[in-house]
Formats: sequence, structure tokens, C-alpha cells
Amino acid sequence: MKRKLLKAVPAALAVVLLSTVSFATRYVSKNDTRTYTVDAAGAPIDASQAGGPAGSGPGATSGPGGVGGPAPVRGGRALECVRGRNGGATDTGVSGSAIKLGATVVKTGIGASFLKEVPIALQAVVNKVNRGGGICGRLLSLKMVDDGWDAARGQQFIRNFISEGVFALAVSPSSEGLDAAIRNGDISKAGIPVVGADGMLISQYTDPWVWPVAASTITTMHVMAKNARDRGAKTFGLVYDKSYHFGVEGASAFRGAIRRMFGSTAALKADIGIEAGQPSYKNDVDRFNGRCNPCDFVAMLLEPPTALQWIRDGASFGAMEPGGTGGPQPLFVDSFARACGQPCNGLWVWTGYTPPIPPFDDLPAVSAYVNDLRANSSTVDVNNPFVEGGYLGMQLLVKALRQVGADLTRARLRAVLDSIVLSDGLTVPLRWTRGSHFANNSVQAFSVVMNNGSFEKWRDERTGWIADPWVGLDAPKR
Amino acid sequence: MQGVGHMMKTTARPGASSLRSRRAVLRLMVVALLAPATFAALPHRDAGADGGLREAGTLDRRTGLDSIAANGNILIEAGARRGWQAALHQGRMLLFEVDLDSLALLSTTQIPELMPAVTTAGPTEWQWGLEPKARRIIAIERTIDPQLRVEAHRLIWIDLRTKTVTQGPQLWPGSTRFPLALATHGGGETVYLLTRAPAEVAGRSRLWLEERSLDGTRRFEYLLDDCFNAQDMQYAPVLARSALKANTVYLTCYGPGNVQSQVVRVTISAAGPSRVEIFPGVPGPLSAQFDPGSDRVFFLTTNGGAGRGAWVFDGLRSSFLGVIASGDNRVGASDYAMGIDPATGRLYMETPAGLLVADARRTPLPAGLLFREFAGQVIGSIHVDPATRRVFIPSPFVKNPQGQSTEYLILKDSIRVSKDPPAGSPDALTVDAEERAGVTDVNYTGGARAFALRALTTGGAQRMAWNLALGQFSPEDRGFDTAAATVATVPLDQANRDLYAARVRNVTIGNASSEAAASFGDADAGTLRDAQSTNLAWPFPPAECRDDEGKPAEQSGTGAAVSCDLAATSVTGSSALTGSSADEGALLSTRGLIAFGNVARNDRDGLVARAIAIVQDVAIGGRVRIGEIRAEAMARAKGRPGTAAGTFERFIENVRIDTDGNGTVDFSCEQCRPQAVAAAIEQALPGQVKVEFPQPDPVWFGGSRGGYQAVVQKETFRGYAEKTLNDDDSPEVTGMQLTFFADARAGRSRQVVQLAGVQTESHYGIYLLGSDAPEPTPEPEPTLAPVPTIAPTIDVPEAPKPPQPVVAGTKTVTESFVRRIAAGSHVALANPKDALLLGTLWLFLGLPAYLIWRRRHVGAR
Repeated sequence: MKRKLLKAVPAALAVVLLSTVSFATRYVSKNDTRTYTVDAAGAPIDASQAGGPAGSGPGATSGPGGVGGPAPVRGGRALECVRGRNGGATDTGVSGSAIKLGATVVKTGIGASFLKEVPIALQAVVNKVNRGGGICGRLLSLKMVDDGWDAARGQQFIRNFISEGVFALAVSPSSEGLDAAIRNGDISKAGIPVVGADGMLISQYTDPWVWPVAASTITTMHVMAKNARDRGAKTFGLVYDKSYHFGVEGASAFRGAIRRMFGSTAALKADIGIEAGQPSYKNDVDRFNGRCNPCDFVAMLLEPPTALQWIRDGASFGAMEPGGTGGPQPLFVDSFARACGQPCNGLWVWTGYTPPIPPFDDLPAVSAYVNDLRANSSTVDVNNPFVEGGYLGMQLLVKALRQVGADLTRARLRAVLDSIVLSDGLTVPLRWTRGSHFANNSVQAFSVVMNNGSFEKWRDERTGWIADPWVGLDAPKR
Repeated sequence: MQGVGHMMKTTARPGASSLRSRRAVLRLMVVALLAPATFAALPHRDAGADGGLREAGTLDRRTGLDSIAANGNILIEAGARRGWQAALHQGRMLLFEVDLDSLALLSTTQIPELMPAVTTAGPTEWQWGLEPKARRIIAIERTIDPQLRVEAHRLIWIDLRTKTVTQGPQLWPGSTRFPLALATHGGGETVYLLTRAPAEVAGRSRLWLEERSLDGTRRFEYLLDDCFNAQDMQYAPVLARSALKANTVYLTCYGPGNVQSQVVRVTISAAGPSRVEIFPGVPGPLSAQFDPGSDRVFFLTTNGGAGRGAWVFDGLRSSFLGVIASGDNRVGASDYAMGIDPATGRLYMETPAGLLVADARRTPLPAGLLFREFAGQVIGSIHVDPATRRVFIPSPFVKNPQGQSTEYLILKDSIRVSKDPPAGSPDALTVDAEERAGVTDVNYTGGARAFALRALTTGGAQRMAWNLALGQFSPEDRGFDTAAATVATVPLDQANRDLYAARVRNVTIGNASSEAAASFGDADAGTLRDAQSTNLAWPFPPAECRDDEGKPAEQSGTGAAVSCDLAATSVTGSSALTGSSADEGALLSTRGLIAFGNVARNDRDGLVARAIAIVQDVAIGGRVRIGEIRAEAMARAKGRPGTAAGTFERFIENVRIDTDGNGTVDFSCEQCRPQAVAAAIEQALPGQVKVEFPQPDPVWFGGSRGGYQAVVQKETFRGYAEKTLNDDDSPEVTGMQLTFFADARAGRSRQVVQLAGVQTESHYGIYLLGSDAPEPTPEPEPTLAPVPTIAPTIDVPEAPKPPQPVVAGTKTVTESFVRRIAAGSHVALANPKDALLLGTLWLFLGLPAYLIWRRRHVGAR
């Protein structure tokens, strides 16, 4: 018996040894995930990436000189991440004391109903960074101009920024002008980074110089259609805003999703595009209601003022319970829900962010976002996802600038952004790679809760993050 | 292959087969134990951490007996892991003892002395309470003299260890009272009773509050003058002694109008009640409950007046916070049940749309999560075992022919309890350093708003008109629900109307931009759309300006002017109009309206925001005349300790009021006190109007300690209440607010008139140039009004834990190993694919070692 036991000992030892190895791998892995520190904007810095990719971009004579990386050398002098020794004017819009940034914003016009307060978010991050001494001794200098969500004006303002020599465009929440600049090649020709864009148009995801943080409208509409089908919808209606690209792109994605799921678009009983901002849509509503009487699911791809008039003119909603009607992110604003009233009870809206709505509002990243905004304006609507997107986009920019470090160039910033990971809790973890800027491909639904005809709150519909099953597909040809 | 050959050879040895099998089994056992440990090394998500609700059993509600006492309620004795149910069977009371963990019925005790207290209207809530420390139930026994048909009531105590009953003295000898609610305090040493006397008028009677000692001796009884019983005999009022406020009792009752239930807070001194406060509540609640951990009272409503959900009153802030609404408005779907977890304050509401779960201690209130898979119509109460977070819901799925739930559906709640997020530290955005060119720079933002007059019609004109018609009918009237539902679905016609006169919509300035907008007449989006759709040009276009590039701009319009100057760091907006005189006979009329806002930076004070609003010569209802109401707010900040401050001043001058309507002025003052004016106006217009003089939020008002910011705006909790009650989310503090109520069956309908509203804010952060400045660590500032910090004494024991084996010196290692094994097993079950892959990997890794060992083993022979 004793001998038998002795024979079993080597086997037991072997297994224990292997098991120990497995424990060891666990701790090694743990150490890997602990190499994060927190930057001034509250975002975690991955020290393993803090140095950025070595040797990327022109002007990089040695190491990148970012936080935690080896000191870069420029002109024979070692650069340090402090003012006076940061290399000075390392690229367009960069000096020893400042980084010039530009952004086209929307404070007037129809887009102001959901974009007006985004500049507060951008400025909040700038203030926080500057209060902490800037980045390697350089303060952020952000200039914002209002283009009224007008494509031509926005494009012109972006050209102005380029000629003025800003280093990068920060978020640039006014999507129409940015879309025009991208499509006309202004961005790529100038090689100017557009970091943290939250305009949701497909052009932002395909341009190598743009790093969007938002889930695209196309993603939203894909998920909306698939989720409705998964919940049992068989007939669909679509009304979209054909004045703006977000409506056109979203409609194309919705049609594509229907076609893919049902083999044709026959299930799409009503498909109507309307001009934004009209005083009446009665004829269109009659057409829509004639085809959807009712449909199981209705996608309302409109911005707030147009949606309000559409609803007011008696448009039918989806019959499916719950969530028979879905809306895009622009309808996720308190002012819309309040103005809409009882008809919007139970309307689902989709967003790619984690909003400061219970039960998410006590998460550290979310409460930090709210507090940062409140420190700049006591009245800002922190629930507005575009405001949150602006904040997140700025955080991406700040994180990337810190990783690039003292030797700041556009090329080096691009290289960093093409491998960066942003996982601060306001979205699913986002990763951009060279060739794919579809970082945020997941959205979740919230619903309007009315009581007695009055808007009460937004409710988490517990869909969780739903990933776009057809990322990048269905972009309309222009 | 060589090794394999050896193996085959080895197996040919006589007698080796059983030995090999045993070894294989041994090795498999070791691997089976260790493999899960390796699986635990995989990153995985704990499915139970935020895992929602899952079914955890059922429990008979004893509905097969003659009648359920206490509406089939179960008393949860979490510490002793017991549940107690009672039912009446063949004239006798049966007490059921249930094991809370196994849900097994442990004993059934017949208690012949005990009869449920009933009222003349039929069986109702059996009033009982649990004293966990003494392990006894306190209840009220009722007996009837069959000859004299006289009821008698006694306090009784049921010892839960022995199931024996002790009777106290008769409660109301010589008179008839009907107990409505019972509460205990101090381990049962003090008993509170809420009772009603026989009906006084039209079936209604006022309520009494009593305090008695353990032996039944009455310490005091107090007639609550404006507190009436509900006509719905199933409505169980709240009666609870506060655990957070000393000597305070909360109860609920109906007001004189028989429409609204209300909260009554009674402060008790040695001689009895020393202060009674009444807070008007909501119409026609189904039930009410109290959360001992927050002093919040929850009214469950499913009617046209209040909507469907739980209205929440916060006793610590003496204010209604809002409603946790179901969002369901389908006709006829109005049976709801409600319960609260006393440990977490989590609210559970069973509705036809789903089970609503909301963390009801949050401020502002959350919408909650809706679990549609548990939807159903039930009545009764929901109970919670706080130790295990299991929820006992009258089952929506198992009912008797009468529609009564015959069992509890028990759900295990694994949803994370959310809390109010931590307050920010705004002073982290500034450093205490002298401003010097080339050494420091500043970030600043500031804003101001003002209006002279605002008229907010909550519910819109359409609903107000409907209320005037529907308000005469009862919800029980035939066709009422259909009519009300029809009203509720009329698109947009119930949208609020929000009109302003003399308004500075905003003046804001920051480092990079300045902008201002003002107009003499402003309106909500719906009204502007109405004007647009009828081709009417809005007669008061706003004056607007913006300066983002150092190019000063200004604009003037009808009764409004603005100017923006970024370089001079100054932005201004104003609006004014004066007429000849106010119309005496109008409901509301004024002669002069002025609003002004300005934000400017100066070397001495930093960024200073000012707002002034003035209303002159106000006439209200033909009986009130006010010479002037003026509100002024200022906020300044300069980024260093002691430099941030706010001021708010209110002036009410030359008031003349005919309080009794006889044509003579019997209240007048030149420099008037607000509360005196409010009392006089409410006396002059009794029941028509509520007059208020709000205060700015005290937390932000004084400025942050480090000097980063000062904000003068509406008090936070008032803001929550007004947002809920009036759909008013404006930030301005008003000089005076008048609310004319027209609430009725179609819903909330109010005309809110605000006079002289102002709001200002200033943020100013200094930062150092030159190097990465270290983050200061200022003390965090609360964003919410301070509340008492007395810890509640709630009996919430720890969840029962299985006994842990303790081995001296090896406990930690052993526990860790056991945990690792358990966690690994979990991963193996939760993610079989990963488990299989990892197992395969280890097999490959282990095979060489095994073969080496086998080779040596065989070679040794």
C-alpha cells in the first residue's frame, strides 16, 4: 500500500506543478491589467501603450517621449514632458506652451435642439486639463465656431481652421459640415486629425484621419431593426429626415437590415422621407398611416422639432408592446420627451453611451462626467448623449495627446490613435486600429416614461449592449 | 509511441487492471479538483453580481382557508429565519410558522383567543406588528358580545418561541373605536394606535392617535382635526415611528375634501403631540408604505388624478420628491401591489406591465427597471426578506377563481443596489495662487437668467378644460375610464404652455465665447409651433448676440436688448416694458415688467454674474395689490478661498389686500414680510391659490470654499418636487410664486404664475503655467441638503451562512483554495467551451510529464 502511494506521488506532484503554473499565469495576467494610471481627465492611461508606437511618423528621432516612455530627442536635445523642455513647436498648431484645437459646434438652427450644449462638455475637459498644467506643459487652446449645422458653412469653417493652423479638430460635433469636409478631402489632404467625433455619420468611420467615439447612426438602425425582429416584429414602418445625412444613412441601414433579415424589403410597409422643419406633415402622415395601420414596429429617424410635428400631425406608432417605436440618439433629450407628452410614452431611443441615468449614474466614470459638467454649468442637460459624446471625444483626444507626449506631431498622434484603447466606462471598451475606426459598435435602449401625460424619466430597457451585426454595411452611395 | 507501447505492455500484467483503474480514478479526482482552479484563472463575469431576478420558490398564501388575516401578509422575522402567516378558519385563528430558507411549514398553531379585528364594512387588515428582539407579535384582539353586539378590543402579545398569548387590558372600554393601524417602538415598550371613531358625517370620521405603554396604559390620545378615514376600507394607512428623527411619528390619512390622501407628521413631547404638520398628498391611493431607512412615505396610485406609480414623500426634507411611475396607461390595468426592502429601500411594484424594481432612496427618484416577465394584476402587499434579498410577491400566475393569488412567488434579487453618486469637488479646478501674468491663467464661465413674469399651464389648456368637465364625476362612473383614456391620448393638446414676459433667456460668458438672448415675450416650443402653423408671426422676436472672436456685438428688438463683448469680458441682456396701470379686476395684471442680466469680469471680484427682475403694480383677483416685487441675485468667484459668494434679495413693497372681500383694505404693509403676505393672499383667495416665496439652494448659495464657484438658483429638492408636480424644471429662484390648482380626474392641471425670477452662476479657476501642477485635495462638498445622520435601527440581520470549518493556521489558504475551486467550477459550468479548451490544453501539457513518469516507473521494474 505504501509503495502504491509512493507511486502516486509523482503524478500528484506533476499536477500540482501544473496547477501552480496556472495560478502563476493568473497573477501575471493580473499584473498586466494593473499597469494603468489615471490621467488628469480621469481616463486610465495604459502605461504599456503610453510611449506610443516607436518610430512612427516624421520628426520622431527617437522614442516618443510620452508618459512613462523613453525620452525623445529632437535636434540633438532630449525632450521632457514639461514646459520649456517639450520641444516647442513640434508640428502645426503646437508651441511650447499651447496646443491649438478647433471645433465646429451648433448653437443655432434646427440641430441646436440637441447639440447646443456640447461645447460645455468640450470646455469642461479643456478646463480640467489646463488646471492640471496642460499636457507636457502645453495648455489646450480650443476655439469653437457655430456653423448652425449647415454643411457648407461648416466645411468653410473647417477650411478656415486648417488654414489658421490648428493642430487638430476636437470632436467637432457639428456633423454636417464635418461630413462635407471629409467627403471633399479637406481632412485627408491637410492630414489634420479629427479626434473624438460624435456626429455618427458613416464618413467619419471611413476616413483614416477621423476617430469617432459614437456608435454610428447606421449601427443604431441595424440594431434597432434586428432587436425589433428578435422581439417578434413582422411589419415595419420607417420615417426619416431626408434633409440631413443622418436620416438618409440611417434609412439605408434600416432597409438593409430588413432586406437581410427577411430576404426583401416587403416587410417594410412604409418608407417615407420628409423635409426637416416643415410646419405640417399631414399629407405624409396620411400616406404613412395608410401603409402602417399599424405596423408592428416604427422607426422614427427624425430630429426633435421635426419628430414633434410629425407626431402632432397624427402619425401612427408601432403596435408592438413594448418598444413598438424606436428613435435615434437625437431624440434622447429631455426637452423632446417633455414636449411630446403622452404619445411618446414607451418610445425607445438608442444610444452608444452609458447615460447618467439610474442604475448607471453612480458608476465612477459616469459620476465623474456629471461632476465635471456641473462644475462648468449648473443647468446643462447631462442626459443628452451628444453632450456625453463630446466629453468622451475630448477624453480620447487628451488621452492620445498624453501618450504621444512631448514630441507632438500629427503623424505620431495618428499612430497612437490607431492603436489606442479607451475603456473608461462611458461606453463599451473602444479600440481603433489602422484601417478600422468602427470602435463603437454597440448601443442600448432607454424608454420614455410618462405619468398622467407628463414626462417623468428615462428608463433603462435592460437590453444591455447590443452589437451591430453588420458593421459598416449599408452606407448609401453618394 | 514508445511510451504507448509500454503502457499497453503494462496493462497485460495480471492484476494490474484494477490497480490502474484505481490510479486513474485517483488522478482524475485530483485533476477534477484542480482543473476548476485553473478555470478560475480565466477572466469571467460573475453572472450573479448583477444578475437580475430569478425565481426562488413559492409559498402558499393560505387562501384555502376561510379568510386570510392581514390580507394574506406574511411577517418576515429575518433574524430568526421565520415567516409568520395567519388565517381564520372556522372561527379560529391559525398561526403558521414557516422556515424562511427552506420555505417549509414548521408548525400550525391554533390560537383560540385571537380574532381578527374587523370594521363594520367587513374584514380588513389585521393589525399586527413584529418585535424581533423580543420575538413576539403584537396584535389587536377583537371580541363581540353576541347579545349586546358590542365590540371590545385588547392588545395581545404572541410569544413566538412558545406560541402562547398574553392579553392586555381592554383598549376602549365604554366607547367604540376601530383600529386602523398599529406601530411599536422601543422593543415593544411603546405602542402607537391610529383609530377612528364611529362615523361623524357622511360615513366619515376623524382619526385619533394614541400612544400606550407595554401594559396597555394610555399615555396620550390626540384628535387629528384635519385627518379623516378613507372610504375605501381596504386602504391601510401608514403609522410608523421614525428611526431617523427623534420623537416623530408619521401617518397617512385623507384630507377634509375626501380626494387627497396626505402625510401627517407628529412631533411628540412628554405631554403628547407638540407639533402636527400636514403635507397634502395625492388623490385616491391604493395603499401607502413607509421606509424606515429614509423616512419616505410611498403612496401607490392607479387613478386618473395621480397616474400609476408610487408617489414619494421625503420626511427628512418635508417635500414630495416625485413619482416612480410604471409608465403603463392601458385601460383597466389598474391592480398594483407594492413593497419595500427595509434594508436597502428598494421598491418593488407589481403591475400589469411588469415588476418594477427601483432604488427608492435615490434623489432624484429613478425610473426603475421593469421586468416584464413577471407582469400581472395582483392586489395585496409585497414582502421582502432583507437578509437574503428574496421578494415575496402575490403570484400573478397562480390564482383562485376569485382572482386572488393563492401563493407567493418568491424572487431572488441579485440586482446591484445603486446609490446617489458622490458629489464633485469643484474647487479641484482652481489653485490658491495669486494671479500673475506669465505664471497663472484662468478658466471662467458665468451666466445669468431673469424674467419678470412667467405663466406655466401644467397639463395645457386642453386638460384644464377637460378637468372642469370630468372633475364633476367619479372614477367609478360608467364610461369614466374610457373618457379619461381618450383625453390622455389626444396628441400634444395636453402639452404644457409656458409663457414669459420680459425675459433674459440667458447671458453667458466664458474664455472663448459670450452670448446673450432676451425677449419681451417668450413661449414654449408648442406655442411657437402653433403660431407658425397658423402663419402668425411671433410678435416678440428675441434679441440675440454672440461674440466668439473679440468682435463686440449688440442687438435690440421689441422690448429687449443684448450686448456681447468677449474682449471686455462683459455680456448683458435686458427686457422691459411699462404700461399705464394694472387692471384691477383681472385675475392677474401688472403695470411694469423689467428683467436684467449681466456677467462681467473685474480685477477685484473676479467673474460677477447679476440678475434683477422687477414686477410693478401687481393686481391679483381684484383683491390683492402689490406695489412692487423685486428679486436680485449675484454670484461671484475669483478662484481663491473666500472669494466665491452669492447673494439673493427679495423686496415686496406696498401691499394692500382686501382679505374678506368687503371692499376695504384690511392688510397693508410698505416693506413686507413674505409669510405675512402669503397668509393674507391665501385668506383673500381661500382655496384658490397657494402662495410661496422660494429660497435659493443653501449648498451652492454661499460659494465653494476654495473660491471656484457660486451659484444662486432654485433649491435642489424644491426643483425635484416642482419638476414632478408642475413639470417645471426652470432653475430660477422666484420673488413670488402663485399656484392655482385645477387638478381633477383628467390629471394634473395647474396654473403656475412666477413673478421676478433670477438665477446666476460664476465659475472661476486659476491654474499655473509652467509645469504639471499637482492636484489639490479639497474637502468634497455635498451637493445635497444636509440630512440628519442618526443611523436607523432596522432589524436587518446578516444572511445566514453555512458553518465554516476552521483549521488553525491554514484557514486562509484552505478558504482561498475552496473559493478557487468553487469559482473554477462556476466558470466550467458557465462557459463550457472555455473549460473544454483549457482542459485540452492541460492534457497536452500534462502528457509529456505523465509519459516521463510512466517510463521511469516501468523502467524501475
